[in-house]
This record gives sequence, C-alpha cells and structure tokens, in this order.
Amino acid sequence: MTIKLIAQIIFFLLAAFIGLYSAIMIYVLIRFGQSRILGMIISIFYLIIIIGLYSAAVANFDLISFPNL
Amino acid sequence: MNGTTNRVRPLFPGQQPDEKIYLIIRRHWIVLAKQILVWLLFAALLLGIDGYLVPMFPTLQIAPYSEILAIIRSVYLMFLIAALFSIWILYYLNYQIITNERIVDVSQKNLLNHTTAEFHLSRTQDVTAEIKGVLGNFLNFGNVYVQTAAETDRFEFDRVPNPQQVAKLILDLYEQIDKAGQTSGGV
Repeated sequence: MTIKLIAQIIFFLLAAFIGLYSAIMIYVLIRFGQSRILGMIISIFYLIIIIGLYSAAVANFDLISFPNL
Repeated sequence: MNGTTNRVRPLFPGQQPDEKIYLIIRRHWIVLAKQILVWLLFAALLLGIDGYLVPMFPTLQIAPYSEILAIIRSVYLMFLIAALFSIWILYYLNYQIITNERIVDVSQKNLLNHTTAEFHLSRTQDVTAEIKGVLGNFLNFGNVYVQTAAETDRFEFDRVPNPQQVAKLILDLYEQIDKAGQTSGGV
C-alpha cells in the first residue's frame, strides 16, 4: 500500500509537471507568436500527442501489481 | 505587409500603421537542426533500451518489470515530446524585424523571459556582417552587429541567414532615412 502510494505520488507529480509546463508553453506560443492560428494548430497537435502518451502511461501504471506490505 | 488595417495584430508594441516591414528574420535553420540533433540523441536512448537493454536482461520482459519499464518509457516519451515542442517554441519566438523606421529584436530566452528591444535606424552608426566557421561559410549564415549612436551595446542578429544582405538592407534603409532627413531639414 505504501509503495503504491509513493509510486502514485511520483507518477502524478511528474504528470502535473508536464501538464503545467505544457500549459505555459501553449500560453507563451499563443500570446507571443506571430500567428495565433499556427500556434493553435501546433498546440492542438501537441496536446493530442501528450494526452495520448499520458493515457498510455496511466494504463501502464494501472497494470503494475504492487506488493502488499 | 504594411499593417494598415486594424484587424491585423501588430507584430511588436508601438508598430505604426504606416510602418513598412522589410524583413522578419530568425536564426538559420541549422541552429534548430543542431538542437534537434541533441534531442535525437535522447530519443535514441529509448531505442537503445528496447534494442539492447531488454534483450540483455530477459527479466525486463517479465511482469512486473515489463510494466514498470513501459511506464518509464511512456513518461520519458512525454518529456521528450515536451522538450521538442519547447525547442521549436524558443526557435519560433526569437526573431528580428526590420522596418523602414527601426529594428525590433523579439527574444524569448526561456519560456518566462520575453523581451522586445528596438532602436531607430536613424541612430545607426556601423553595421558589421560576420560569417564564421565551415558551416557558416558553407550554408551562408552568421552574425550581424549594428552599432548604435546612443548605446554602448551592440545590437546583434545571431546566426541569421544571408548576413551580408541583412547588413546591406539596414544600410540602405539608413541611407533612405538620412536622405529624407536632409531633404526635410533643407526645406
């Protein structure tokens, strides 16, 4: 139980970091970029990839059987 | 290219409606390619794990190690994609604009450090184009330094394509301003 909790905390902290970092990148791109449309298209493309990878990571995480301590 | 309509978003603060943009310039593509090459080395690490590490240690193919490896791979891939996006954003958001009135340097040093510097072409004292190294000569990119009258710092165009043409454009625009100033001053 403890190992699972620690693994969950690490995993979701990493995911939160990526999420925050992605949000900042998209904000900066749309705010300071020359073309908002280009910024939005690239951001949507990026979000599709990153959400797909996050879903795969969550699915992999659920598959791990942690030892009961 | 002159932003006469109000619907067009100005490229930099203080852009005049009648201001004509002559050039928007970024670093040479080789600068981006070099960064992507470093990124590719980190991406190759992932292939190396699948190609060499997993066959070398067969235990990594058995549960729960295979799942742990899969989650590490997914998270690492997320960081890789975010890094690639970040590299492109920092390349895309660093540019210089040369107009008929001024030079504007828009720079994004990191995600939270955005600066816009500008100076009027009338203050130009000296323009230097510099091409260095094998790649610079082969691909025709280099630095352009613009010395201004009022400031001690030089205005720098970092590794831009066709630096000599950029320098010539700045000097031509400076001469136009100089001539216009002399004409209006003489009347």
